[in-house]
Amino acid sequence: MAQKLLVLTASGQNKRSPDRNCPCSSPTALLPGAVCFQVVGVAFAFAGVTQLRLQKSESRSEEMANSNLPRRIIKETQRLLSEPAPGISASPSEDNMRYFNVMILGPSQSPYEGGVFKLELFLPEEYPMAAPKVRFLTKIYHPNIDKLGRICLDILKDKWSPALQIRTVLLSIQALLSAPNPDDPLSDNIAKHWKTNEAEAVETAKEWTRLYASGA
Amino acid sequence: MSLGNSGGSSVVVPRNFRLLEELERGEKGIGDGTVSYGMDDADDIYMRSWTGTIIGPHNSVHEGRIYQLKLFCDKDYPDKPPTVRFHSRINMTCVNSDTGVVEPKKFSMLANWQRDYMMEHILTNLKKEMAAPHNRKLVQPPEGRVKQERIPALQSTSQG
Repeated sequence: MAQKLLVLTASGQNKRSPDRNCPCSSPTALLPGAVCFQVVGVAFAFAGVTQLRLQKSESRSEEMANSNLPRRIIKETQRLLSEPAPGISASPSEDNMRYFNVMILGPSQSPYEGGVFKLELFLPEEYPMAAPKVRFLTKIYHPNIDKLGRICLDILKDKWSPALQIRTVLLSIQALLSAPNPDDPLSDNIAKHWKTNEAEAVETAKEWTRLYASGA
Repeated sequence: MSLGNSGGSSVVVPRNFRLLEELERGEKGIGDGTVSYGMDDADDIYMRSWTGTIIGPHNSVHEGRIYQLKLFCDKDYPDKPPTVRFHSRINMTCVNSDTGVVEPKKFSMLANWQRDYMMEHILTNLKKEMAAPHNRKLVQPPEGRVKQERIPALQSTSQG
């Protein structure tokens, strides 16, 4: 079931979203095979190891106890902390376990290489029936990310599925950094720049990475 | 989201996501359009400064007037209310006539602030307040006057 949903997500990535403000598509197809495998693997692990992890979580749940936090969120959090995805870290804030501080390293061979990007993520009450809310806090020059750090990504909107997770969302955002898509822009000016003079736009993105994402 | 709902859900929407939600609501337009608001600085990732507009209610001296307000949402918003200040001159019992600041002591919504109150509620309540018996007949300054910028603190809060 989980796998099917993920496959659907991957195959549907070329359709334009009906959302007028964010006609975004997912970069899933552009992910290297290994990352796709990882994504599917996560979904399986999630379905399969439920019992075992739940018991573990109960013994460790003192610090996790944040009034009625759903088990799914506790489990996802534990996995994020114990087995972080390469180049991604996500940790819940102390006073709100639905609110995560996220760091994503700029992927190698992208204009964001060498950058450390800070994001914030919130799991709304409806999660996992509704997508997490995510935005960049670090300034970034990218056609699918706007000035307020909001991200144009279909799985955060109409292509969300409860089979996806925090981890898959963050991997997709990482992939979006490797594959800017100026045809589905959120920032019109940046997209225009990208389409008219890609080399120069990439230079600006590198420059912004040095200026704002140095991790200092 | 209901006004003044203190029980029920234990999910706390963090400040920034709450303000993003308010931004989207503001962009769509609120109710009959007699109150509106928007962000002042599209580059401010912390979304602190906002401008609100109230069209004066019928059957009051404010009818037909357009009032501009500045709302400042600090880092502790929405746990704490924003600072609210009339940019346009207005004579109103809850507004300091020198600074234009809406005084929490005289405007119960700010004094008894609850976390799920939003900027649109402040504006809607201020509009109601304009039409209240103690305000609706107060003599008003000439129309179109704008306050001098007297509160530099509101503009220069750029730390963090």
